[in-house]
Amino acid sequence: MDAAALTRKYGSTVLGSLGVGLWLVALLLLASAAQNSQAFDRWLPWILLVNISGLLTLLVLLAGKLYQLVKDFRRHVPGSRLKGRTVAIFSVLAVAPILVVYYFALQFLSRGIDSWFEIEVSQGLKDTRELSHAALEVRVREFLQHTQVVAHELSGLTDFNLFSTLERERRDSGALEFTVVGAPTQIIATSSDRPMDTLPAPATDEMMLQVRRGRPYVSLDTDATGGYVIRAAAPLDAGPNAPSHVLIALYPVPQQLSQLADTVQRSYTQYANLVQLRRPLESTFVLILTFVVLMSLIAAVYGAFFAAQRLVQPVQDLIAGTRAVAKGNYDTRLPLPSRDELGFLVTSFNDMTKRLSRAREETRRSQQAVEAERAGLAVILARLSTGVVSLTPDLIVRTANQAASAILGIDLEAAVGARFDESINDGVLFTHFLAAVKARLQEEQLDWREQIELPSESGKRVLMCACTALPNEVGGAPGVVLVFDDITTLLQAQRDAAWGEVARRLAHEIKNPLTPIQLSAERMRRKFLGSMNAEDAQILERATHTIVAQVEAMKQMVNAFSEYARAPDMHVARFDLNQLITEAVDLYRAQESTAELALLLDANLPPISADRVRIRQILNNLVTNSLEALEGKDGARIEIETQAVEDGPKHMAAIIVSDNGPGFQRDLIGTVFDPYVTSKPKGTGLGLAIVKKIVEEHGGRIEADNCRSGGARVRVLLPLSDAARGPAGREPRKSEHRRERV
Amino acid sequence: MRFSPTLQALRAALLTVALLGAAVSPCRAEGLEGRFEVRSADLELAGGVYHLNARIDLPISDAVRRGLNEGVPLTLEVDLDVERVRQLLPNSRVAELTQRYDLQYNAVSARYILRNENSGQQQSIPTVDAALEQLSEVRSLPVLDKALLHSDRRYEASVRARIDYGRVPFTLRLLMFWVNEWHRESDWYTWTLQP
Repeated sequence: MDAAALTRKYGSTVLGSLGVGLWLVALLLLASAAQNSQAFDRWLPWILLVNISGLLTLLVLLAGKLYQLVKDFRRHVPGSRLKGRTVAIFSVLAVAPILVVYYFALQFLSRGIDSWFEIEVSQGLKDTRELSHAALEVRVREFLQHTQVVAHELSGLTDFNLFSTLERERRDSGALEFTVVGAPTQIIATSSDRPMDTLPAPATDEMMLQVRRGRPYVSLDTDATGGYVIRAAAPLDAGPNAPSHVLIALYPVPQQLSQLADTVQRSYTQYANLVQLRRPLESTFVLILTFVVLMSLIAAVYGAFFAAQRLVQPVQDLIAGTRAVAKGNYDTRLPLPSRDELGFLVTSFNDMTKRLSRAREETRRSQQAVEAERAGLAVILARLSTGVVSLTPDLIVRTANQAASAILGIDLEAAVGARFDESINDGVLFTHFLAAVKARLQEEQLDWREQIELPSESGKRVLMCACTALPNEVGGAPGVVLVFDDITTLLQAQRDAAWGEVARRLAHEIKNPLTPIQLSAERMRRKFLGSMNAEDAQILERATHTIVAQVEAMKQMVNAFSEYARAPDMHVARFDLNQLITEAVDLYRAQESTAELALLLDANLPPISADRVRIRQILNNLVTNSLEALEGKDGARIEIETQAVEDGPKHMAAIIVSDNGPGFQRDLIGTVFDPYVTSKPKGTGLGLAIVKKIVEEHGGRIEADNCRSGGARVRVLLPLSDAARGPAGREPRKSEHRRERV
Repeated sequence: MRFSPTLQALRAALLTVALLGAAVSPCRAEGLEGRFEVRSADLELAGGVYHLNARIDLPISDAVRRGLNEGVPLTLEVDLDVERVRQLLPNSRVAELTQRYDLQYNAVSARYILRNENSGQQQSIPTVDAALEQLSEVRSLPVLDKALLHSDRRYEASVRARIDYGRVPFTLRLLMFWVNEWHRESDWYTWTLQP
């Protein structure tokens, strides 16, 4: 987890703990400071700092929450709108009453404190002060006058008489102290009712200055005990003995009057203190109230965030969970917030995801099973010799096996996913196959089985094709599966077997009576020719000659059949094919044939493993066939060509015999290798059939067509080795020789 | 720019808080004005006792004068601190003294009472100016016996003045910690004392 994530996760907690810690520290400092004034002065800045820090911490927390909310709101984070609305509602619900209370408390403070300092109270205190002052003023003036009288009486007295008169006058007047001072403030005589250790009241500069200016002095003073005394001073009349003496008198104020005056003074002082505190007190209360309201507001809004988060968190979890499920994460589980309705919703969500997860797991397993089944089926299809092609209703190739490609001569597996009739358009066989299939599908024949004969480059091919509709897909037309097999070889084998049987029967049923017929005809000729007249003898001679000639012809025909039906008895050996061809052609050249025999032999042709006698028979049959076709033609020419070719993986030797004769009839090209198919009047129709039979016994292939310049061309492909020939062309067992021998 | 209801409500709340803060701020009352300091001080040896003479500048504003005239008390405390100067170690305190004066108007007698709280002596003064003049002068206040000082050592004497205007209960002072108009404290006035 990186630093930013840690900050996001634990930032609020750390800041909240810091705020609470600061608040506790502030309380501790305040408790410590409340012990005495000096501690308060010392801790005051720290208390302020801690309080401001706490307030700032709360503000930072709140600002962070607000910033996060606005950011989420703009990013359309799930649940941010709901959270914003919830915070707004909670904030309004919490803040509105606080503000109302704040307003009324402010009004109450302002007007309440004002009411404490009503003008009547202030005026009343002033009046009381004036009253007290007036009440004492009368007594002060009386004492002043009395002091002046005593000063007059003391004028002119000697120092000795001065003290006694002073003592008497003090006692008579009830004064606390009489003191006569000279210049500057020397005490001349004093009489006091106060304790002996108490010094006489000193003459103040103010007093002496005023008296020396000739004006009496009087003042109402407080003593050290808080009581009131009246201090008066008057100059003695000037005389030779007392040029500048001053009488200072100290009169007591009656205790009741003094107490009343003291009460008035204390009330006045206290009120003055209160008046002085009025504005600061009001401001302090407003400040404290504002601070508390501010803290309450912040706490309320922060609490609104907290409550909104508690409410919205399960909803946000549900939204995130729903998105995760929509993306395919069915393993999502949400924490259970509580046991209320939201908790029920979360529990239902968790149950749903659990069931979805289970269902997906089951689906996955089923899919795996289907895939395994499909893979097995694909292996089976690949190994089948039967071609299988499945098509969608739109004729798009869904599947095709190797056998289908091999039979149709195209790469159908590469065409999977493409349209059957558009993507693949090469090959004569496939073109005709496609036409035959489409014709049936367009007639909406989805279930049929039919043998289809198709022309191809190598002759007619016969396919046994079956079409079956696939199970109907939801909301669409059914597809089809085509199953087809190349039965050309099978049919050919059946046909060969049938002809072989015919040949055996002909050889057996016809050849045996021919010899007695021929012998009987010759014996009849020998016995009756001499005893007959010339005319009859001529008839007999001609008849027996005809019988013998026809029997001979029939023998040749039966021998040919016997040759065709003969069981393969091959003697395979390696020899030079070119040399064999050269030898065979030399024999024809020696017979002064009218046709030109040209050899185009491949000098690089390797030796071939084959039955030399039979290969020579192939050459004889093909050359004889061409010679018969070229009979009577000027400029007749036969070309014999050899090539080394690759037929798929097999190494083959090709023998191509072509002539410039009339060529094969177009309608017979597909059947020229069948027995008794011939266009020549003297032909037995077995020459090419025997050639084809020998070629197939060698595991080879034969093709017949016409040259572009005219004339027939037969192409024989023979395997060069036993391995290339395969099992079909290998030497059969002896038992098979015996069984098939005619 | 348009705001959602949530943002509008938050904006209104913040605005309210700002306005409240602005309304509360001008509530401060006037304080003492000018520089409050010890202008001069010295220790005078007389009769084997050091006497303190000091001159203090009292920054008394008209408002405070009016308050004094209404009966609000004014208290002045003069702190004297005498320390022996040491080279490597912290200074050691030799003597410490706080002299407290209390000035208050007596509404009944219409005079200002200046009271020495240490000795209990008090003076009755007719005018506020005379009372303040009296308060700002410390004359021949015996503070230290000469025997406490040694002639071969060096000492430092420091004087500081503190003034309190009004008598505010301590609990109220706690509440009104942010109002400092009734309490001022001067810097220390320090000089070297050579016995």
